[in-house]
Amino acid sequence: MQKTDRSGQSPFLVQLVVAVALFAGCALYLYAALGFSFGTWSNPRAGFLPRIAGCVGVVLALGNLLRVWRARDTTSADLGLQPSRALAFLVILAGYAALLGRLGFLPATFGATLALLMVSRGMRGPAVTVGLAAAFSFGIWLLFSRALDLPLP
Amino acid sequence: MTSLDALIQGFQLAATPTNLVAAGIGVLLGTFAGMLPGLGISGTIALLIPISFGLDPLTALVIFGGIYYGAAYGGSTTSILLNVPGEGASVVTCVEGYAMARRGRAGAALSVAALGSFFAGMLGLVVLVLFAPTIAGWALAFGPQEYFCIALLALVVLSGISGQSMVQSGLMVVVGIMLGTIGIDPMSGVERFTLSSDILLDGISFIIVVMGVYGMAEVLQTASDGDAAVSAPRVAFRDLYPTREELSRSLPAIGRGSLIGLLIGLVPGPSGTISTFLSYAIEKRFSRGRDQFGSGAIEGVAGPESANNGADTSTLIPLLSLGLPFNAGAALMLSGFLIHGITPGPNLVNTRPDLFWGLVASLLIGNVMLLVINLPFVGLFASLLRIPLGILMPLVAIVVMSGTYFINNNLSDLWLAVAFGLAGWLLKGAGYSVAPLIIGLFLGPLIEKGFLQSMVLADGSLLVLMSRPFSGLMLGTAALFILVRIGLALRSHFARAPLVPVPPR
Repeated sequence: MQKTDRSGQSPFLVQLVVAVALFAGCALYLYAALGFSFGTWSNPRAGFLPRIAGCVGVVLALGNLLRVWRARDTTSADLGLQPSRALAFLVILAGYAALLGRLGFLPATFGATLALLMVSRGMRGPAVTVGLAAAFSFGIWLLFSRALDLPLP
Repeated sequence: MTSLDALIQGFQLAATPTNLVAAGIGVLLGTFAGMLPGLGISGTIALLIPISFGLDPLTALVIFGGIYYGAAYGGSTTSILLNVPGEGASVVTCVEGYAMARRGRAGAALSVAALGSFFAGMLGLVVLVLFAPTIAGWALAFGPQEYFCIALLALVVLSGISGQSMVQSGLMVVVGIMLGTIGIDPMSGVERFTLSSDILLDGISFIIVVMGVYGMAEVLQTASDGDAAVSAPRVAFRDLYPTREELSRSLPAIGRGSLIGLLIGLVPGPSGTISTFLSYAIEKRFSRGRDQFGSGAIEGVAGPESANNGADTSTLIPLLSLGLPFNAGAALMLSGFLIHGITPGPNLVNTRPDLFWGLVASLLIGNVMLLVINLPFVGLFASLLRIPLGILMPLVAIVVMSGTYFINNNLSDLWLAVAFGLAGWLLKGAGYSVAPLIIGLFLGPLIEKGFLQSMVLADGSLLVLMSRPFSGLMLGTAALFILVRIGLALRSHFARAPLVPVPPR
């Protein structure tokens, strides 16, 4: 997608948060990796690659963090105009993951599709939205359960 | 049995009515999904993997062949009609293709792009037929040292040319390797980084990560981009014929672009993007219509589109003969194979030649289908672009989630897909390419296994890695690549710094 002026969030803040998260993740990984035995060169153990990867990762993540901090490049970060909509998608999909096993495939899929369509505001009118969600849910239920004969949750 | 005989047998298996219909469906769906702005070939394959569940492995391979070529062509359609590049490889097509569309020559640009893609794809497949079995035969003699060194070279080269800073791509590679170490250590049986969770005990599935960081992240990115208004021009079938002059100018560009793509596709990294930019630069310098560049030169469509498809096809050579994906598109194809229990590599060529040659035949069928089906339906595809993404993306999200469940019939995988979707969206949003992460995740366990086995066999002597000619060559090339990169970085640093100290005022 072409980069345009985005107003929803600070690009530098996004870059900084991601760089800090990567550094923290690599540091935590290295800390956990130190709990595994390195072994010897002739008899490497479970911690051999994780320790090397952890050390390299921490160095690179630190370099990356410094690069982001020094460059303050605000042109290459882009979470879109409406990141809140993406977050709403995530919440609905997490709900789908939680409810799929309890409600069954068809009701959970209908509910999630309906919620996603409402959030994305692609349809005109609630009746059309409900109709599309029902038709789509039934369609993929038919595809997976009848045409492809896959076991549904 | 010669390669030709084997290929004919592959056609007998792949060209059944069911498989031909599957190829057609794959091409149509691949083209349609590839046209969704922002998806690109990798995202398209990630989205469409679920449609192959429950199918016979060869039929699934046929569908993937169609999707692979359809997705590549779908990206160019969006570039030409909407001026929206689906991925890096489509950027230069936007420049000349969209300019042609504005002059009313969208149909000619689309047909030349399809012709170039077809020719380059066919050339790449001929090279694949000629060389992949031979390379696979050599690879049977490879030991852990060779696999370690090839995988290491691939990661080193990938870190250097993935279109972002070396620190960023190196970090993504290492994060991928880290993710690959989660689960039970195959050498010692020790649990690593599982957080005492059953979900992580078997490790993080490569395919789940792919579905998350490509499929789910693209959905989130598109959702957060808002309601982009799409206004695609109408293209009728009669508009597709290029003029005689356009055709005569395009053919040399198609030949040059195909060769460039063929060679660049063998190098680890974003070969599609690199080859299209290289092809564009060459056409701009040498083609007959170089004066028209920037205002709709057909060579600027024909060359890069051929280069892109040539690279996409030739990158299948290391994938099929060695089992090593050198870019994101190949990694996605690999994940599709793995779902159906097919592991590409020398063993596939030598122990399951029916599947290997069936796949090669299915790629050929997919490439022909692309030309036969897509061109007549280009008007329909253009009209599909008018469907609001606000309707499409929720449906795509549900397909990705359902597909993730069907990989292992495990509800926990859905949580992982959501988590990796969030991670992919944030990483891409912050300017990171996730392709090195995916390749690192796949190659990391290979590197670990190859290195540890080599060390055990050689009693800890690192010299064993250089004792065999091929592994020594790979290792030397990796070292040379690192030295060149460091040298270039130092040169660039000192070129920016003043050579003579500035006297204080």
